[in-house]
Amino acid sequence: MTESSANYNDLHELEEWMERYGRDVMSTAYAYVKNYHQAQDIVQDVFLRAYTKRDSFRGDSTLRTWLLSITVNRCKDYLRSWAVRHEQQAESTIEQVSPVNIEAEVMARFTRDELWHALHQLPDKYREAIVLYYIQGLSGQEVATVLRTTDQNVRTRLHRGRVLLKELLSQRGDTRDAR
Amino acid sequence: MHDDEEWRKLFSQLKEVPFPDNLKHTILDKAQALHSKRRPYQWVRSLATTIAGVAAAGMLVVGAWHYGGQSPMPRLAHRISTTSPADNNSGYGLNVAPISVGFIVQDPQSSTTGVLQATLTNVGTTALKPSDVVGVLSFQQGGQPDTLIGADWATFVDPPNQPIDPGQTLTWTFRPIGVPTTSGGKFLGDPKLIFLEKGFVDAAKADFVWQKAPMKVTDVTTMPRSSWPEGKSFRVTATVTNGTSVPLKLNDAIALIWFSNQDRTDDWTQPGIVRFMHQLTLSHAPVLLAPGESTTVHFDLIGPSTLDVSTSHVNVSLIWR
Repeated sequence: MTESSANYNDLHELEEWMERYGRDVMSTAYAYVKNYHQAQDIVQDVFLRAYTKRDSFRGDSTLRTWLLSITVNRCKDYLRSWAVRHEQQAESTIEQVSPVNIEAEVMARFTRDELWHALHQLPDKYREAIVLYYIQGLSGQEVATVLRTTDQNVRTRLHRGRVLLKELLSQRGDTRDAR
Repeated sequence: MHDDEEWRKLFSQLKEVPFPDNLKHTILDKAQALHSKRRPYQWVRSLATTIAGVAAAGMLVVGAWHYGGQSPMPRLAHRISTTSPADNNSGYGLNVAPISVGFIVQDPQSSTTGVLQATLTNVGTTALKPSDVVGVLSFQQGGQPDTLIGADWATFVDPPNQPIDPGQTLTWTFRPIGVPTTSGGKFLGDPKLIFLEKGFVDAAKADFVWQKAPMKVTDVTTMPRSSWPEGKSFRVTATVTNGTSVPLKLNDAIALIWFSNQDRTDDWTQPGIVRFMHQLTLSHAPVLLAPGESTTVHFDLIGPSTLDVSTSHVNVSLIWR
């Protein structure tokens, strides 16, 4: 195989990864950093990192789990970074417009915003377990692999996260009802 | 109120985070650009992005440092077994510690040459102790975007002997030993400094990977050479064998040498380890080791006076640069 054809195949493979898992990586990054533009930067970093390290992927986990592992680590790096701790980050939300049913879209959007807001108020260790388990649909064992912890620990975090989330959603519902 | 299925249904609404086409194209463009910058072998690439030229002065039989002191008393120190458990892995996955190096210069205030001054800021969220990190100092010609790309020479350095609190910046003055200098005592090249977190991580999660060279290292011995109040010099000798079916270029290999008080310690980043980095050969001409062929290499090193090479366990691992 020539180098150019190898390059073409590699790039084609990368494109396939993005087609299949781009949204998963994006939603996970967004759940961590709460900023859509920053999430895009992280997603870019994740795919380029995965691309340059593709030879090190040994298939011990699924490709999706591997990509999500990289995403989680890059997000944690970002959240630990100097910029996050010393700069005021403006939240940027996701704009999606549905021309079909404005009212239904507004309500759906409202529910999504409520849920994102509540999710973002959770402590990191509960939020990441919930994101990977409920949003990404990973099994408990897969979540444990990505977070490098135990299955039992994941179950505990999910339980506590759900309890907290329920409280947060309930509080916001009360506030909304009071208005 | 919420059982598992209800939670899943609720969260299913959050899956609609778009992955825009322009982002995909940007990533593909950057990936394409990477090809034009990369060398053909992955094992070279992984290290080329990191410590490309960890080129310590050395050769198959490296030149000796000449220091005053008592006459050397040659004696055999330690032998270690041929391979260590870490040799089963393909490389050392490393993460960069959250220390920002603001600037690093040859100390302008120092009346003596060979002194560096750097400002270090802890950009992490927890205090960093000296035992938490390992410094890597390199020198390179010309500005390089990456800390170690194009390095002509590099070595491990111990961090400042004090904790750095989150957000704290300190000015650190230190004297690296054995760094090549001009006849006027100036360092050759521009100094670069990074700090690594102690411990190894999976390659997928690492900031970079130092790829191990597929050469067996056997018969490692240490022989004291000289000593003086502040330090000592000694020679480490080892036999290197090409365990592959293809010729290997020794010019591209770097030796990591570390001394520990514990037997078979493969993690050279841990506290209490005295560690060195050394090139296998000084030769500019290619030095090839044929399949199955063995050769003897020597590393003349200078360590702290507290290092007892006769009782410490010496370990040698080869990586590609």
